[in-house]
Amino acid sequence: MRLFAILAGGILAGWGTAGYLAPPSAAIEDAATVRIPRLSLRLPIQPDDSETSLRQGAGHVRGTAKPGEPGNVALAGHRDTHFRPLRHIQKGDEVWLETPRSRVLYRVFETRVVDPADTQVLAPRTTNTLTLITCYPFQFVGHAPQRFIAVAREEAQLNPANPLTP
Amino acid sequence: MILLLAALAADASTLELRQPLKTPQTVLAPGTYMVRVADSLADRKIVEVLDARSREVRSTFLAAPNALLRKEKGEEFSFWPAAGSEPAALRAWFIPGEARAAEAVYEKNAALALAKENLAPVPAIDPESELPVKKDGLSKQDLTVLKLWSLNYQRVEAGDPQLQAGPLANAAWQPAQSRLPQTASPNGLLILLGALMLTGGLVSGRVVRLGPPAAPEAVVESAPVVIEAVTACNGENVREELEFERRRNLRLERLVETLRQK
Repeated sequence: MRLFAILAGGILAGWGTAGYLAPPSAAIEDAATVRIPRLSLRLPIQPDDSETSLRQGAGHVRGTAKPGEPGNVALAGHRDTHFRPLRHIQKGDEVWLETPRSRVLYRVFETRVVDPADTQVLAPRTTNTLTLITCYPFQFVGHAPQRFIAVAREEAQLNPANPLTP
Repeated sequence: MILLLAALAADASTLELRQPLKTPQTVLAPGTYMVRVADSLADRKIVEVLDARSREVRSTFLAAPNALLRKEKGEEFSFWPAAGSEPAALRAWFIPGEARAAEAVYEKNAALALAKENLAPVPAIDPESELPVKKDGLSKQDLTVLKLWSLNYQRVEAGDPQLQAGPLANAAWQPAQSRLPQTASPNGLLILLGALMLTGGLVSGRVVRLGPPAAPEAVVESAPVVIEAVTACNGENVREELEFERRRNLRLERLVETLRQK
């Protein structure tokens, strides 16, 4: 019994720690990416926000504009893995959304905490925006009761073939 | 006179604009302006924006005190960012010497637009609270101030039902999901559970090692206090054994002493 507890505990703790420290598993070169230079964060964007996708990077939230398209692009990520640095995000931070066909610079203009039922943050707006979503409080173990939202507004679009040309 | 000027300066700030700026009453062209408090109550300020050169009033509006707003980089004003074709809008004035910011109160539709765009509460005028004001003997500016006195305001925000019903609501848009995504991985729980099991396993081993088999040998030559502790764990049998050992040792010591004396 004692040996079983030690073995099972070791496996669980190792598994959890490995997941906690694991880098994003999708190939960044081929995927759309979200990048926040000040936080040294660069993640591939997965096509949906399923549990499997969120293990591999930031997940695109269903029903919102896709990366590279006009509108409100919403991305979700685990607060204890890939979106962990979001706890340090600040108003004015640059956020880059890069696809093979476009490079868009957004600038954070607001961070806030909302209820999980507040889907209004996903609504399209008059300007192109990027909404980053993760759980809140950041130190919570298990399913956190609230969501942390960082909203960034589009500032510039660059052509990847010629980055100096807007 | 000097004191009066100082008092005026304490309630006024200079606003320099390089881009047009929306205020609740009008859009200000680029230029230099003086912003001052025309009148105040506990729950409101009536703010005037004057042309810095001609001293003509360009805008008069209601501002609500807000203790939650904080100055950024020492700036005396904060702004709602420009959105689409709309210019940036004045959000708040941090009146010199006052602890609370004066947050500009917008007409309801404009406030709803700002709230939706910025996902933040915006104070809005309740148009139904406007009272008829008699015009006799009052200047246009006085009438404006009186009207602002009479108005009530409330804070509107993006989640408000009013926003859904208002002209700015996007009726065609429906969320694809009823809740925001679940963004907690199981890693934290796994680590916690694993750590608990590991600790439990290791601690139980230590308890086993501290149990009956090891105790008697360890305590044979120790003090009576330790004997008591072991006794508590193992019962009277151990106590008797230890007493027997102690007495035997005493007898041996007495025998040795007797032999020495002889």
